[in-house]
Amino acid sequence: MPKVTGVFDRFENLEKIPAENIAKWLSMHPDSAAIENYIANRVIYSQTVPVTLNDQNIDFAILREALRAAPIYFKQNQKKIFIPADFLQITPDIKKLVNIVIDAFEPKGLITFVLTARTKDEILGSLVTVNCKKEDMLYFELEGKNFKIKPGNLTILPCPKDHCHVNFKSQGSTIFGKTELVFEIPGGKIGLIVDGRLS
Amino acid sequence: MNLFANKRFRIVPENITLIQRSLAGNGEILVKAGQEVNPQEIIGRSIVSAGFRKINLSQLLSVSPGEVKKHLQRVPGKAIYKGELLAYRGSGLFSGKKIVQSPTDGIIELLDENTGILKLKILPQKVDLPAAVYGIIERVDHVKKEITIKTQVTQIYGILGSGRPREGYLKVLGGMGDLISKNDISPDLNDKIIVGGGLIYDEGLKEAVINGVNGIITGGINAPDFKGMSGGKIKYAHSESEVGIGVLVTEGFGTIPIGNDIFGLLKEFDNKFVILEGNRGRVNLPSTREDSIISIRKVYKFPSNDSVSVVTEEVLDPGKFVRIIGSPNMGEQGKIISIDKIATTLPSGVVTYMITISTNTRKIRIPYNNVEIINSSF
Repeated sequence: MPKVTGVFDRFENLEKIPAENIAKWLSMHPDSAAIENYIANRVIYSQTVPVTLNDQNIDFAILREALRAAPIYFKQNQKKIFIPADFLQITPDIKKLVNIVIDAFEPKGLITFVLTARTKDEILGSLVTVNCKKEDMLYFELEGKNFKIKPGNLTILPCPKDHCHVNFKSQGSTIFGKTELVFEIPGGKIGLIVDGRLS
Repeated sequence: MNLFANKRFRIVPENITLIQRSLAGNGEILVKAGQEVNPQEIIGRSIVSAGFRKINLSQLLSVSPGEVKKHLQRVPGKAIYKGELLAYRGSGLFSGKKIVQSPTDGIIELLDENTGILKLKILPQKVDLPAAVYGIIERVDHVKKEITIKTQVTQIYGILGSGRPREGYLKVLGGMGDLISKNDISPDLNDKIIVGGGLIYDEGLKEAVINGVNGIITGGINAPDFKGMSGGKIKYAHSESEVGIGVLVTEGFGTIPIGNDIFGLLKEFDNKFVILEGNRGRVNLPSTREDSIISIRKVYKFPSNDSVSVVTEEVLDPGKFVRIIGSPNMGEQGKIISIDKIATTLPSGVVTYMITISTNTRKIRIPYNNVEIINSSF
């Protein structure tokens, strides 16, 4: 019989996620029993949507841990991360969802994000990781625009086209071991996410 | 534009179904297939010999565990019969006298002076098994000592459950939202199916097992306690879990009052015989009407008896009854009085349509995603 489902129906063992793994993503720490109850209610009532920001943050934390426990949406061999469109039920903000999958999978290299829907898939953009040196600035040129990035953050550069040419330059920081590199990325709503976080 | 929500069947009224009654030990079955029975009719007789009973005398006498011994009225090793005086404490400055009678025939095996718990070895007893329902004997299994009866029951489906089938007289402990702790569980609830409220605490569950409570119906339960009973599972919990007590959770996890629809019906069955099937997530309330036998005689085929609460999607329309399944106001029930035609952005940023429901006390606006249609009213 047809049934209304939700994001969390996609995960088999949600109830096995330890409460402390959820708590680490939250600035306000509810007690572990409250977190376990929240997760359990998400298992039985997966179709519900978060009303408050607090509830949404717990949903995001659960999603991160669920993705991490079952990384079926990260196809390493294709260098792609697939985001099912029904994830948008818990936030319409696609950038937040991309951040969640980056937190969950910690992808490295050049990765493409794909939003998957029943009718059509949509390329959202790409991520590139930079092996950063703390004192370096990162210089990007994207479709004729120049960007100067300080290492330490995730930075989003606009790239709404299907494909974008990227020019990278730095003193000592590298992409694929090179301080200067020209490459092409699939673009989209998100654009290019430069992962310049220091390890 | 149609908005869909899941519809859950919480109450199935006057359903003709098969129930099983089992002899508690070795014995004989006194009925044959095809025979009509009434609730008082004895359908089997057995001898029950095994088992112990733990009685928390420290709690019942309101004294420290070390003081229990001086109030004990029987010597360990001696027999005691049901209703005889087991322990007595005279009235004090701030409390009345306390009398504890033996709940069963037995031998006082041991008093643990560290906990104040007395262990009673149960004496062999002749136990009569009444039919407990109006019905027709469908099958008799002399090997398994089981009797299957075709009968008419109203079925309440919960969200989750645990435990093999258990039966007993229903006892509603308080209000639909009450929190049930250890102190709410007394020895006189032995063999009962108790109706809690919004939550039963872990210690309450343990105390219920110690006191021989057969089952608990609660609105909410803490997830760690439920997972402890179901082998860690929630989603596929309807299996074969068994921890010495039957449990039916009607609403979800955390503190959630039992819904108006279910609680109202359970109150009607207070002090009546019921059968709790925890692993199937339901409780059967046998018809108390003698004329139910007329309907029972007419039914020969039965739908699958194993299904748990049926859930299917349905369009939300004004006039339908719903229960809230997301925060805030989780568990509340009401009638849809309007559905917005324009979407609303929630504080979380989620854009969705709101519906307005009328509960017994107020009107609530809620995202349509956060309700379930129910087949019962209140």
